[in-house]
Amino acid sequence: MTDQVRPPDPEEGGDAPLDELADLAVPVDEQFADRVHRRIERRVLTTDLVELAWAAPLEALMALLRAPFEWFDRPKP
Amino acid sequence: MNALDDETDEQLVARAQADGYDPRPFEALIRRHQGFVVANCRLITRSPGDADDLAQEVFVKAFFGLPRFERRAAFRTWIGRIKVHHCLNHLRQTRGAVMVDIDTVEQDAPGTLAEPAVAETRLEEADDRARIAAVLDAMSDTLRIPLMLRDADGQTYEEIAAQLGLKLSAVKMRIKRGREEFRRRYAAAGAP
Repeated sequence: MTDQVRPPDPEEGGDAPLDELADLAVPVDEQFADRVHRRIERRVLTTDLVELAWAAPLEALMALLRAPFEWFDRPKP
Repeated sequence: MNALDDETDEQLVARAQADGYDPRPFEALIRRHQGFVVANCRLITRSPGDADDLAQEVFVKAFFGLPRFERRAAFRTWIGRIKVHHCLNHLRQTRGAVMVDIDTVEQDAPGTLAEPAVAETRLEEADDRARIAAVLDAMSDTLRIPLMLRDADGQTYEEIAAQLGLKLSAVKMRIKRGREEFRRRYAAAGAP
């Protein structure tokens, strides 16, 4: 089931690790992976919206600041 | 069952890192390790109601951390560390502290000595996995958490000491005592 290798530990002494705990697993319902996937999608969407919320006003401000220079720079008739 | 289920963790991680837009390799990793992560979240926090939610969040963190995963450790080891951090943070937020003085805990811990009847009733009804869970549930955080980190997650004593903010000698002592208590309770519960 796993590729885990339990690290040897010279400090264990005579006290061996509990084998009962080595491969503990519980049955998980089939929708678990879907729920994780939906969480990831929500997180990505939230991140995108936050980035947009920062970027959009900044972009508008930059356009506003550029406008006078562009007006002066444009060729006169 | 699909073709990805036959691949090793290393192959799946490489695929997931190569193409972040394809969710299938990571979903295969989730399916492979979900039982282990949910079980450990449940046993570390002793909170069955939160275990599923905590485990989902562990996989979400793993997904976003995957580009930085350098594959020096096995995926299971890596996600085990994420899980431990997440569960310990959860315990700190819900209880205020994870580790307290060992003598205080052993005097006050519910279910260790104060309520043996409840624990024993649960143990009699349970199958092997549930019996292990019941035994761990009956142990104090002070012994159970270091024991889980060592014997379920395979962390080193040094890692456990760093995560729990304890001295190395204290970690070793707690794990030793935890194993003794687990064996005693497990045997008392009629383990095969």
